[in-house]
Amino acid sequence: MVSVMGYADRRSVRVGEHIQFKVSVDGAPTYRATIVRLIGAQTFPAPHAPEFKVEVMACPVNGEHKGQHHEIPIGSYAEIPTHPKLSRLTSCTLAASIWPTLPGSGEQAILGTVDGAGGLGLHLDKEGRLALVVGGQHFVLPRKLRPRRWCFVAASLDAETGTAIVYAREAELYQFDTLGAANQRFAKVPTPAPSERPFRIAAAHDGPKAIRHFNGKIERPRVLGRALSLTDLGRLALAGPAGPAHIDAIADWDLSRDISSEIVSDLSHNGLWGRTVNLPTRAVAGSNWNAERHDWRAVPDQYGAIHFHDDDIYDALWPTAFEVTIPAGWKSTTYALHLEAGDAEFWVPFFVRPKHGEAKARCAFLVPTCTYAAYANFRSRVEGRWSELYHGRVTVLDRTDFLMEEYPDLGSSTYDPHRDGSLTLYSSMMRPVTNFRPTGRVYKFCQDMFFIAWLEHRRIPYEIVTDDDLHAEGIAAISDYACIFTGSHPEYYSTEMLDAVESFLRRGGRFMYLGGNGFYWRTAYHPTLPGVVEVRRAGQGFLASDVERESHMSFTGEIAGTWHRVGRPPNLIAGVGMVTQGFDACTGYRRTKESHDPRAAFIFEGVREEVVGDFGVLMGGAAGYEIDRHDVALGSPRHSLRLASSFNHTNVYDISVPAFTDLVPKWSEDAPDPVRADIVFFETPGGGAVFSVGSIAWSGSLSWNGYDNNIDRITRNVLMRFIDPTPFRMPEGA
Amino acid sequence: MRDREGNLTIKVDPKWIDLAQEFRRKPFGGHTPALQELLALMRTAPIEGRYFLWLSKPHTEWTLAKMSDTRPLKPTLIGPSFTSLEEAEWHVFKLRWEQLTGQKLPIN
Repeated sequence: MVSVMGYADRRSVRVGEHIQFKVSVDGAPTYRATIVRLIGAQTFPAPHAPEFKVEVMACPVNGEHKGQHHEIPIGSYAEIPTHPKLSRLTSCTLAASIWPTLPGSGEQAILGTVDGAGGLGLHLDKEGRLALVVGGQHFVLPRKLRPRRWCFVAASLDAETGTAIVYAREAELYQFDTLGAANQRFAKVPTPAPSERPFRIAAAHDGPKAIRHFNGKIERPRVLGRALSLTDLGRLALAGPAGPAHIDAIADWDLSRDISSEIVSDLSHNGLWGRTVNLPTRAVAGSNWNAERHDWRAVPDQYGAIHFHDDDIYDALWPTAFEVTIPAGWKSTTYALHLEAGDAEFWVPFFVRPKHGEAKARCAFLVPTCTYAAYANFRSRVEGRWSELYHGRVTVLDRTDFLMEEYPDLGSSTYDPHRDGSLTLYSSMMRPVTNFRPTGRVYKFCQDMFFIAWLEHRRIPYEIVTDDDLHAEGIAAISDYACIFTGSHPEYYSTEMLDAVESFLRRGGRFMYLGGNGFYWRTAYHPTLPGVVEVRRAGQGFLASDVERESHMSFTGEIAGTWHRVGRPPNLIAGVGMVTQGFDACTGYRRTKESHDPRAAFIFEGVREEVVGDFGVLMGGAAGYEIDRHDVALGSPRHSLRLASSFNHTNVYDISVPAFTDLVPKWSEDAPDPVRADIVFFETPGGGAVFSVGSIAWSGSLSWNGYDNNIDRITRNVLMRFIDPTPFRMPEGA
Repeated sequence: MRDREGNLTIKVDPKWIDLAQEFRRKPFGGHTPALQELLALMRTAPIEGRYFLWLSKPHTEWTLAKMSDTRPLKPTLIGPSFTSLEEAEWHVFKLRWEQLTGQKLPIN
């Protein structure tokens, strides 16, 4: 079967800048590339849904290209460049503490230079037993290592006598059932031949490729320049992972240093520094974690482990197929590279911004690329057992969804477990992303295209800013605009993004939150690597274990979890906060008395109905999918107006309530009152204002009845007032 | 309900026709607690071998499909195709009813 996939080096590009595209094709000699502008998405039939318009842009890369298949080098490890000190090891000791998660699941390299019959290494054999590997031979300690137990492991090799000791000692704080030390002596052990391969931690070599990836944590890997005696090995095991370099160290890697980076620091005098590949998880608890702190910055020596996975992926590293320079005449909006080969297709969307300092529109669409990244290759929607339950309907999938099954190396999203059961914490856009497209499930990017269709239909001048820009540039990314409005689901927010929106509002900016479940999870961008975010689910143990003791971001050190848990609930900035989700049916909002307050008169101008949004292409209403509620106790401003509330949500919404709030779920026919989406408005002290709809499904109603409906009217009313420079005034007494 | 391995811990009684009729009338939307529990059983079976819908024409036609019994999951299109999600949902309900009770649903 033919398949074609691609990705870009960035999501956001200004006029005059370049964007590079990477393409792989399987089963066909060529592929067709077309750069298009996207208006709408391939969703539901007209007349109620927007028409899907794809405009071909004049671009030199359009046309047939010779195709090539590229693999994705999945699996993380650390690599130290080839150095004579590590290439010509004779008598030596290899040691580390390990916490294997999949022992017995194929051979796994802990450290060394093994490449076929060459090199030297300390491995777990395919049975999960510790093995010294030298000259292609395995010298195996018979005991199997137990999963998820810390174990000091070492091999001491005496080249003069041709003997070796392989040693393991399980040692975990607070366990009553740890196994003691075990060792095995071996004779006729060959002297390692010199190896020109780089030294690796958590992988072996197959030529330049990395194989035999280790699954689990590795702490304080070391190479010592002599063969330690059994007594010395015992001392080293008991010494623990912290402390200065070993006196005999050729290399002594302290993984508690430079946790936010790819750097692997060597404490020895040899400067054998390395770097991690494919972002293994850092800031994870080590063997000496003493239950006192959760913040690795306070006790870095207790977070000196790295958790490697054979399915970690940061960058697919495909060569650039072609580069596009954005011409001056291109409007700031949404575009895509459309790839076709045989009957297969793939989309690589990107967003064009105006040249720096040349913004002209009064408003900007703040595209939630941070959320797209957190959900990139959302494998659980295909593979997960619970997806259908909380969606309340049979799952609908297409060929592109199944690319994740055909090509497991595409990796996972932050919702999915690794192969070893630990939750994926990092998610990257530097790989093909199957759910970032204007087709398939109407959710995230695909649904956000409803806003583009609406803006185009209403001929509202707008420009684009992405979350990536907001994070990188702060308020400067949006300060040219009077009003910014979100997509349907801006769930993932970095501190920098939230601070930028708040500063914008304090300076009189206007903010329209036109979605649901927004500003929910604190998210971190990597300090140096582009296109990758980190999410840790602290406070919501239903997604993973170990969320508490590893509850600080490795990228930034910040407390992780929901913004509510962190102490900055979404209600503070949006006036509403997430309640629950349900995807089986949507409903409308009933206006409250507060909607008739003169402060809100501009919002409902021309709207006669008391119930609004009781229609829409997304399950029949503007209120639904994921919904947020006004709650002063959680930080909604006291002067905020709750203008309308949705009602009569189905009991599928009740299922998720306990996951998100402390409400007691009731499986009643009518959803309990707290399960509702609220439309909220409030002014800010600098002359700004906020309008929130608290529902993902809002955008699905804009195009109803040929765009002639009260959701369109309300959204336009607010946008037109929000781009008017006349300051909003705080109400009396606020 | 189901245990951790996904095995049923209660037996679905083929006499619960009223629940099937309720679902037939309204496949999406508010359901009685008893029907919701039955649906929870149907919707939490192991993913291997589970029915799903293949989007055969963008948002206008869906074809009944089944996941492979092993991973990585592969789809098998078994048909029929539907032009209404409600009809597709009802068809899957009937198939799952038969799986759970061992009997065909005596209503259409």
